[in-house]
Amino acid sequence: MPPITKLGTQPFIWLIELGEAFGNFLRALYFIFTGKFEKKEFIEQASKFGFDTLPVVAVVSFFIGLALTLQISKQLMGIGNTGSLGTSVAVSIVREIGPVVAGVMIAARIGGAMAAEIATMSVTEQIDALKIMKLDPISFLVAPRLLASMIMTPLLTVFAIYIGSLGGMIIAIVYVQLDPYMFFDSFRAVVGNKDVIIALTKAFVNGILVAVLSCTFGMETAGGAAGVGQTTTKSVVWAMLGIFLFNFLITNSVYSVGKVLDPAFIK
Amino acid sequence: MNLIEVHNVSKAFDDLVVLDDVSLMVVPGECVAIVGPSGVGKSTLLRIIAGLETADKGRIKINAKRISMVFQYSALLNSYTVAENIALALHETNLSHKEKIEKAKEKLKLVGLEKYHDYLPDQLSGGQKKRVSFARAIASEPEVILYDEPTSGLDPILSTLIEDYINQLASQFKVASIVVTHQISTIKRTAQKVIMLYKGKIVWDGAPKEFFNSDNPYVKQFVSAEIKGPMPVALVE
Repeated sequence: MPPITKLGTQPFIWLIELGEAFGNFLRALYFIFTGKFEKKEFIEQASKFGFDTLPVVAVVSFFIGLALTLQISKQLMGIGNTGSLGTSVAVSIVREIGPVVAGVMIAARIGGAMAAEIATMSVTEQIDALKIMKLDPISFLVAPRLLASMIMTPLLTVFAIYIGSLGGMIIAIVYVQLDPYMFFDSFRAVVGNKDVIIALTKAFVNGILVAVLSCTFGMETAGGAAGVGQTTTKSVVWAMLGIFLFNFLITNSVYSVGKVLDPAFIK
Repeated sequence: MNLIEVHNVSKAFDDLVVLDDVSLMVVPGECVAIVGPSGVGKSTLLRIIAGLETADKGRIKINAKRISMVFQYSALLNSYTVAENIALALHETNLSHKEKIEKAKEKLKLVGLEKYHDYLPDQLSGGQKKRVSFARAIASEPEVILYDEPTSGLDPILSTLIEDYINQLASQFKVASIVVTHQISTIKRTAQKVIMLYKGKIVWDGAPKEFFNSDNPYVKQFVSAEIKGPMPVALVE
């Protein structure tokens, strides 16, 4: 390929990679629905999600809950409206902070490890060995990881929401001297099933993004240890970008569609 | 009938031509050694035959039902035990998981590692990993085994053991082998045919006995391990 042509294709490589990731996602879905995937890998990956990510998600969500509630309470105390603290915290944590924090933590902790593991398998010819044995790497490696991620990310997101809310309640009690019942009453008043569904949808999409991008980039890795390092960084960065982008897109579509279907929805 | 036919295969990575019009045939029970300095396309040829790479030009005909491969660095899956690694090669059979593990243990016995069936690959030495990789390669009872530098990194005794396995499979089960190697002992002890590659082209092919007595300047330099010759070596001062 002439250098000038090569230069011209470089900016579009990411498009090809995203296309490959989408193709891998569809194939992995096929293997999940037909049950043709490695169950042992699925159990191992699902437990990795729980054990590796739960403490990190708990700590980060708790401190974000503390900081966020502190900021909001300062503003509300200024206008003498601390009674709506629970409402403001609820909307932020359930709709936005919970899914994003859990997603980012999973991308960093699990996505990075997943990409590094598969990239190492790639550079040490383990993926080639699977192909020689006529084992499809998508069914063997990607499908179990995708399923584990699609199940565990929403669970971790629910956990992040609970822990974040707990942090918020502690600030409400200690700093604002708010009655905990009052805090949770206003919390419950604004959080409905639809908010939980939105949060779980975001978490589900985050799980897909982390697993598919990490596995796709991992399988394409070449160039030994340096390649593994580059893949790990790349998969974490892309997964985080994806999480923020889809978080915005889902929020935006929920408000746009919700406004049309039910004007009370965006209250 | 030829088990493997490679007709006029060429392959380039960007501007670098790795294989240029290479042809070879392998019959049942035959062991073909592909030799040459590093970076001349030996492993690429093996990977094209294995279906792991595609050729830019040429045709490959595989008449074998099952092919397996022994990789340079064993390529065992780290999260699976030794027996599970071998059992993976049996996934197309109708055997139960327990039966597959039992069969894997039988194969491990052949390479003298039956006691290590529940070890993880990281708990094994390089030589043991190579032997497990060999057991995995023979588990599916292939007609052809491709070896990518099977004796690299092994001591001379273990190298002899691996060479004996290759010979045993050829004589007992008519398993054909293509061995990519640099090691003179492996060529001498296993090959019935030697193909020497240089800059992507076959520069010599024939029987091992002729190989070691050849006047071909490439072969002479390779066999005598001389620095001076038609294959220049980039020396680092």
